[in-house]
Parts: sequence; structure tokens; C-alpha cells
Amino acid sequence: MAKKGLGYYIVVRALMIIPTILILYTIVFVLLRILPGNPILAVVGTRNIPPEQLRHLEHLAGLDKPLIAQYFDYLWNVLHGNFGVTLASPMGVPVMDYIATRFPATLELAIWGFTFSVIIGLVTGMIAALKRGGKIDTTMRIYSIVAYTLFIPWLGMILQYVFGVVLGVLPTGGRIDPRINLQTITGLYVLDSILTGNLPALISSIKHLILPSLTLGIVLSGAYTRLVRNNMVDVLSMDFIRSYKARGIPGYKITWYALKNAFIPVITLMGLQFAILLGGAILTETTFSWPGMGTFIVDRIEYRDYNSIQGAIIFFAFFVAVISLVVDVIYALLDPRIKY
Amino acid sequence: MPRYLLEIKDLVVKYYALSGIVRAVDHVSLAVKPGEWISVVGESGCGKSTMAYSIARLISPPGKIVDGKIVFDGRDLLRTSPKEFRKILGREIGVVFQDPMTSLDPLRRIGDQIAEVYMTHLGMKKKEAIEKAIEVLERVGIPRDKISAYPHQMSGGQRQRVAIAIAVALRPKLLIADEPTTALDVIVQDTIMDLLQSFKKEGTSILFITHDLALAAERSDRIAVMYAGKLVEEGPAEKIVENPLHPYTQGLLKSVPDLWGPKKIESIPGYPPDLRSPPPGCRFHPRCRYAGESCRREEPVLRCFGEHCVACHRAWVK
Repeated sequence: MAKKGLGYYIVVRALMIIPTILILYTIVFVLLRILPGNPILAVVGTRNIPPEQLRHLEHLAGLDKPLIAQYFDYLWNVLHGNFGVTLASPMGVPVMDYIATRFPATLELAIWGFTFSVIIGLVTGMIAALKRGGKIDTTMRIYSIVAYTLFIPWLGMILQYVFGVVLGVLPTGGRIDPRINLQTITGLYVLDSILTGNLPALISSIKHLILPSLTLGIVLSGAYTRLVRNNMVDVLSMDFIRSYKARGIPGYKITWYALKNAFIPVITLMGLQFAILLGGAILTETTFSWPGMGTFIVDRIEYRDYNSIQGAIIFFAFFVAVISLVVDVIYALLDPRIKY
Repeated sequence: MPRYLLEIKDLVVKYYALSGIVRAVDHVSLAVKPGEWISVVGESGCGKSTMAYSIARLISPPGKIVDGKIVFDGRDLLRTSPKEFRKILGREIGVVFQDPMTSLDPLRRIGDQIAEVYMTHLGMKKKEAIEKAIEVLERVGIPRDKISAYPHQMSGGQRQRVAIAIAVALRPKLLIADEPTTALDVIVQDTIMDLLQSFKKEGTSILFITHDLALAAERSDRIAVMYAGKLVEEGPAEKIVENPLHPYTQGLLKSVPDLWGPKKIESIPGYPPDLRSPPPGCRFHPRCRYAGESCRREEPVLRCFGEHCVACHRAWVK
């Protein structure tokens, strides 16, 4: 294969985002139309409303158009950066306004959850590998399976009960103490608190973040524990580790080089996990009443708010695709053996 | 100057495998003089590599050095602290391994890997260490612009040169080479042997581990032959080749093809014994055509005729 360089690879990968999102949008569009009811009926509920008024409302929402027209109209709008307006309760608010406040909340939760999962996974996996065959190794391996199979709301509620109810040291829901006034810049509360030098807000937002991100982090760490352990065991038995020993290199340095080698496949997992992470964030958000994209989507499904759901999911998917592209690029930069 | 640079005395190494205890090295003694090239020859599993790794303390569980002494330059290697031993290994003892494809860290530039030795042992700064790395790289015949190459960008022969460069970077007194040419083609093999010999000329002792008796015979001062965890014959290279005393060594020599003579290749019948339960008496007796009653009962001890030593009941002296 001709050497086309990293730039070429990035362009190809970026172009592949387009069909991915088209397919996803189509699936979501069809699923939403299969669901019984529509946004207007969801709001109207069991109330008696004259049929002509109902038709008028449906006309306002554009629901009287043929499905194929609805499909392409929305797509056309998205291509122009317009994610439409909400169709119900309230009606007519740009979906982007919601995403703008909800997405940073999810992103912040995801970043923290991700960090927790990687740290827990790396530490447990590394310890297991260095003590392989022993009791510690077995414990870590059991941890990895248990963590992987835990149900997020269950773990979340346990943590809420222990730290929120019994010990009373951490809040069980929300993003920040509502009495604290925080000027938002990025929408990431921890970052905003630091940027505005708001210490009470910083403490409060970190306290609110700990339980949900720990829940997410523990559940996602299981896969890392296993992968890091197995890679590390493989790498430690490789010839070049023996070569390092034979050169009189200190043990801690050898462990570091081994970890670097064992880390390469972990980066791939990180890219994959990030998608799962955002999915897990939905469950975490509903458990911890976290005002993010997850609670937003769940909330909007009740109203059959087509535009909001489609918009939120497309935005989400776009974000995940970009992250996985970034991960692949990092992977290429870290491993000199990879050529594109 | 001491008579010997390295003295292995009664070394016993065992592997505690699930299926039984493997006596990989069984009471082996060997001595290396300063500036000497000594080759240890034997088939796979005879314990030659285990013996070599014992010197570098690279035996890890389930393997264990059970007994014996390894004296290097006046110090008992098996009784030095790990910290002190790390100062000896890599500086006074260099090791080159069999497979150059896997013996270098794939994620680090070779220059950094060479320079690390100078930084670790001599406390050099990075810049200075890289200068030295370029020097030693050119010494092993690799152009200086390869200094920032990654291992995967080099051929097997080049990688082995890099591995040798790292092993000899600090001019060790002893270079242990564990089948350094086995993974390479014959032409490259020869150039690597030349390279090793050039370091011998500069005063480095070489402990060369190989299964190839012909290769060993070309370059060695002395040859030691191992069979089933035991040292069976040892002596000056030309004596081993011209007048092998142990039937196993004779068998090894007969299995080397001769390009110019009418000699027929003969193989040694049978297989090496299972080291979990070696045969009683001489370990070679089930495959030996001269085996007699005493060979089945009594373990032969190493007896020396001048510089030529052999462990065989049936070895006759001309």
C-alpha cells in the first residue's frame, strides 16, 4: 500500500462519520414513527380536543407531511446546523438550546467517569499482573468480572445509600448546590468554578460529581482491569523485558516500559468504551437526577418529541465518532509501528 | 591477574513444574579465563541457556538456583545484593539473546535504548549518552543516522548488532551470547560472529551458547559440551573436534555435514531423556553404542587428561 500519511487517514476516517450518522438517524427516525402516538397526542393526552384543532397543531409541528418529507426536511436542517425545535411541552424551543446546557453536564460526568475507570482499571490490572498467580491476582480478576456485570442503577443506589444516607457526606443527586450561584462559561462546572475562582462552587460541584462518576467508573473499569492485566502479563514475559533486566535497568523503569507496551491495546478499548460510557451515562444520569443528555432523551421520549430525540442522538453520535477518531490518531502517534 | 574471570562451581538449577521437578542444570562446573572465547554446545533442553542465565541471575520462578557458586572477578554473584548485582550486570557482564526480533523494546528508539545503559550505569546526561550511543553503534557497523530508528525499521541482523552494541557499550569483561546467530541467515551469521570476535580481540571474554558444534569450533578457544543437564566433555576446541572423547560429542561431530569429504551424516539415535526422571548411571547410556554395565549403574565423574576433561566410563586415552 502506498504511504499516504496520517493526514489522508484522518480525512478518510472523518468522511466515514457521514454514513455512520445517516444510518443511525434513519434507525432512530423509523423507531420513533413506529412508537404509538405523536408529540401532539402525548401532550393532549386524554383531554377532548376538537379534531380540527388537533390537525392544526399537527400542521404546526409539520406532522401532516408525508414521512419521507419529514425525514428529508429534518436531515436538510441538520446539515445546516439546525436541530429543529421542540415539538412538545414546551413547543418551539430550539433543540440546540437544550443540548447546549445538557451536553456539558453529560460530558463532565463522562470525563470523570472515564478518568475513574481508567485509573481503577490500570492500577488493579497492573497489580494483578505483577502479583500474577497469587491471591491478589485472583481478587482482581474477580473484581473485573463483578464490576463488568454490575447494573449501574443498582450500584448507584448502593453508593447513594452508603455515602448519602448512612454517612451523609455526599449529595445523592444534581450537579451543584442550587443555592450557589455559578457563572457558566464552558458548562463544565468544575472548570467554570476554577475559571471564575469560585471556591464554594468548586467544592460543591466536585462533591456532586463523585458518586455518579464513581458508579460509572467502577462499572467501566472491569474491562480495563482484565485487559491491562492480560497485556501486562504478556509483555512481562516478552524477551525485551529480560533484555532490560540483563542491562541492569532498575525494576521500576522496566515496569514503566512494560506498562507503556501493555497500554497500546488499552487505547483501542478507550475509544470503544467512550461510546459505552455515554450510554452508561444515561443510566447514571437517571439514577442521580443528573441534568444531562441522558435524562433529556428519556424525558423527551415520554413526549414523543421527535426533533429533540433525533437531534440529541445525532449530536451524541457525532461526538462519539469524533472521539473515536481522535483515539485512533493518538494510537497511531503512540505506536511507531503503525503506518497508514 | 586472577586465573579465572568466571568460575561456576557445582551449579544446580531446578524448574519446579507442575508435572515434576526438572533438573535443568545438575552439578555443572565451568571456568572462563580472561579474554577467552568458550562455547557451550548441546541440544535444546540440555541446560546450556539455563546455565548462562544463572550467571545473569535471570532465572525466574518456577526456576530456581538450588546450589552452587558463581564467582565473577572475585565476587560471589549468587550472594551479592540485588542493588549491587544490577551494577555488575550490564556493565561488567553483557548479555546478547537469541531472537533479535523481540529483544528490543518496540516502542523506543534504539538510540534511547543504547543511551539508557550509559545513563543508568555511568550517570551520564542524555546528550552525552546519545553521543556515546552513536559511537558504539558505528563500532558495530550501523550508520549513525539509524540512531533515531525504531527496532521495526531494521533488519534482523541490524537489530542483533544493536543488541550487541548495548551489551558491549560499557566494555564488559564478560559477554554472554545465547545463540545470537540462530535466528539469522548464514551470511549475516558470519558477520555477527566476526563482530563478536573483534570484541574478543579487545579483551572481552565470550561465553557463547550454541547448538551448532561446527560454528563453535570455528571461533572458540575452548568448547564445553552439555547433555541432559550435565557437562560431559570440555577442552580446547581443536582437541574436541579432532579427538572427541565422549560418545555424545562424537555423535554431534558425525551429524555435521562435510562439504568437501565423502563423510556420511550420522544422527544420534533416540531422544534426550526427560529431565524430571533422568536414567540412572550415565544419562547418555540409552543412546550410547558403547554402553556397558557400569554405565547403567554408576554416574561418571568428569576426569581430566591435561586440559581435556570428559565424563565417561568408556572414554579411552590414546
